[in-house]
Amino acid sequence: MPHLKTLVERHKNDPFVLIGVNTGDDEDAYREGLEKHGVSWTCAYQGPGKDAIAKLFEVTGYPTYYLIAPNGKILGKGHSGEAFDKTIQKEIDKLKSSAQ
Amino acid sequence: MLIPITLLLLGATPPPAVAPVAAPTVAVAWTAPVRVDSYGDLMSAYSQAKADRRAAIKAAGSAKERRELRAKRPATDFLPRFEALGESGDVRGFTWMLDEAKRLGIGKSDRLAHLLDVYGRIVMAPADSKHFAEAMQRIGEEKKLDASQRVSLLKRVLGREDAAGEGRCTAQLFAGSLLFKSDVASDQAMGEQILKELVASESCSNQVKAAEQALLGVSIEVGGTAPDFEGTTIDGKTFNLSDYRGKVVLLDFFGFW
Repeated sequence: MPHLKTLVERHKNDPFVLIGVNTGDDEDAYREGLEKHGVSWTCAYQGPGKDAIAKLFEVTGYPTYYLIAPNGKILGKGHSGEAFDKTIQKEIDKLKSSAQ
Repeated sequence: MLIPITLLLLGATPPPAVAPVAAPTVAVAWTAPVRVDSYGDLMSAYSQAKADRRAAIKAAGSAKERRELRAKRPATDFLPRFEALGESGDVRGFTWMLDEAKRLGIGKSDRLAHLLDVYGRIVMAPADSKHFAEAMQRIGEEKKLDASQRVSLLKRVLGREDAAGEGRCTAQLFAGSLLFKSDVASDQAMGEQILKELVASESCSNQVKAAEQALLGVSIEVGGTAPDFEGTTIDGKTFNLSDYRGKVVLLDFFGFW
C-alpha cells in the first residue's frame, strides 16, 4: 500500500491511473482501510461475498496486478506492484512522445 | 455468402470411415448387464465404497491384509457403471473417468492417451446427452491438451449432423475462439468465420456476447484486450475500465483483510 501511494503521487501529472478492485472486505473494514492507507484513487468495491470482477480476471491470489496499455491490451500481470514501476514509466514516456 | 461452417468442416476434415465390423465367429464370454444409475446415486455409492475401504484398511489386523485391501480399487469396480452412465446419455459418467484417472490406476505416461480417449467418447456421446455443454467447455479450457488437440475434438462435434443446442453452440464458441487465436492465418480466418456465424445465429443466444468478445481479442492473457467491467465505488459512483482508454492503467485486486 505505501508503494501504491508513492506510485500515484509520482504520476499525478501523467496519463496514468491506478484502479483498485476490492474483494472480501465488509463495508466497515473497507472504509477503515481506505482511511488508514490513504487510498485516494478510484476503487471498485464489490461487497462481502461478491467477486464478479475478480472472477472475470480469474484472480486467485491477492494482491494481483494487471498492467493495461492505453489501447486496452494487457501488458503484464503479477502479484508485485513494484515490479511494474519501470514498465509504467516506459509506457507513459511512449505515450507522451507520440503525443508530441 | 458464408459457407455454413458444418459443410466447411466436413470438407476440411471428412469424418473417419467406420471400419466394417466382422461378425464374431467365436462365442463371446457372457458379461453381466450393467445397471444404469443416476449420477447422484452413483456418486454417493462410490463415496461410500471409498469410505468403507479406508475404514477397512484402518481396522486391518496385519500388514498383509492392509496390502490386499489397498490393492482393491473402488474406482475400478465402479468404472463399468460410470461408463454405462456416459453411454446412456449423461456425459458426467465420462468426465468422472477423467477426474478419477489416478484412482483408476492410470499412470502418468498414459494420462494423455486416457484423456484423448475419454474426450473422444464424450464428443461422440448421444446428441441429447445431459451436461454435454459443460463437457464442451471443459474441452475448450483443458490445460492438459494443446489448442489443436482441443480444436480437433470440438470440430468432431461441429461435424455431427445430430448435434444441436447448447452443446453445439458451446463447441462452436470454443473452437472459434481457439482457432481465432492461432498464429496460422487460415486457422485464424476459420475461427473468425465460426465466431461471426455464432454472433449472427439465432439459436446460440447464450454464446453471442462471448463470441463478440473473442472477436475483439478479449482475454486475460498478456497481449489480449482486457475485458471491460463496470465498477461501483463505496460512494455509489460507477465507472468502466474502458473509460480509461488512452491512459496507462494499473489494475489492483486487493483486500484489506
